[in-house]
Amino acid sequence: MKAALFGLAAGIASALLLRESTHVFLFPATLAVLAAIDLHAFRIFRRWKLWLFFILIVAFPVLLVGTRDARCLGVPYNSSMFRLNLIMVERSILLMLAIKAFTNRLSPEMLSRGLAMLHLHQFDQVFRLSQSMLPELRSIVTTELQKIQWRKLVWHPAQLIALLGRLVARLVFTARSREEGA
Amino acid sequence: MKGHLAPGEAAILAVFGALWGLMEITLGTALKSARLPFSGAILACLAAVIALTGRSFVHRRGAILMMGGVAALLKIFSVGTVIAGPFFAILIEALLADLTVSLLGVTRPGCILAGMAMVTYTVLHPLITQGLFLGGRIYEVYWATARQVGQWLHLEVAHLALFIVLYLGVHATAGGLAGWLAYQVSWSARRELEDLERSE
Repeated sequence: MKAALFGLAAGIASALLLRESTHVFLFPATLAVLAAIDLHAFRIFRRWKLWLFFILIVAFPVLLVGTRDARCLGVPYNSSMFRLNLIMVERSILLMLAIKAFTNRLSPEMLSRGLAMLHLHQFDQVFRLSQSMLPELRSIVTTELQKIQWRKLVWHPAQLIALLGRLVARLVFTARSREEGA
Repeated sequence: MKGHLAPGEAAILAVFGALWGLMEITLGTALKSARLPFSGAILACLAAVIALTGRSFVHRRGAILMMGGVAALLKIFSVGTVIAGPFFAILIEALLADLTVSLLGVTRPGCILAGMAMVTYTVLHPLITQGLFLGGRIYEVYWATARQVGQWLHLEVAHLALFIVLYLGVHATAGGLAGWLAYQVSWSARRELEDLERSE
């Protein structure tokens, strides 16, 4: 956990310090530190949508916006915007990796304890209760929803309120009787 | 949330939190895998109906936040790992609804405004997240690109503003309807509950 916290702090600090003058050594150095802490965090880059987003925000404006003062493979582009956008993407990569490396070490139980500390008294009790009630809840909701004739509701939408009201009443009734039984 | 929960309140919060979580896990996964547009807004509308209906039975500040906490944790448990994005999105939606209802009460306008806040936030969430990760420069890039595209299509800034207002307006209207539905459902449920309790 200490390593993950260090990685998070290092990632955020490097992201904030990233400039045109520093990114050449700071970016790979922080990547190396984060890789040493949690190599699995790099799995987030398997998502093609993320790469598409990066390519779009770097390439698209650079080719279309402002003065295109440089050329790459004969294609004119805005060089100052390219440098700035590249740093922006590098910054987001560092932050995403640092947060992922940190959250990989977090367990839902730790988060639950954290939420309980947010002045939400009895959160633990409510959460444990909700987990234990899930199967019963699922069965009530499925039974009630199966009774609803959705096609008819299209022509009589006011009935939806009555049907949902009945479902909610059953849920509240079950919750109260459970609490009384406990 | 101040003080201890009254008997029954914890169970009601647990039920509505679990219902919200169940909806996020089942319908959320289905909508995401179907790649339907506006899936975030659809989920937020249903979340608003569940959270606001639940809040009408527990008259305490922080009740929606607690339901949101339960829903967010259940979602995280279902995935197995902690994914920060959806976790914070659910918590922030819950916080917005809680603040609105705390200010205006569980009244019809309170529910409508809380629903509007929850659903409109789904438009702002990716922008805020991108701003946090990519810095303020991402907004400059979007602005410059939008202006350039606007020039090609002979569109003014006013047209862009109109589009944004319309987009937000559609979300706010859907959220308002969800809030209104929650208010109506909670009244109908109250009557049904009285009948149920009398018959037992």
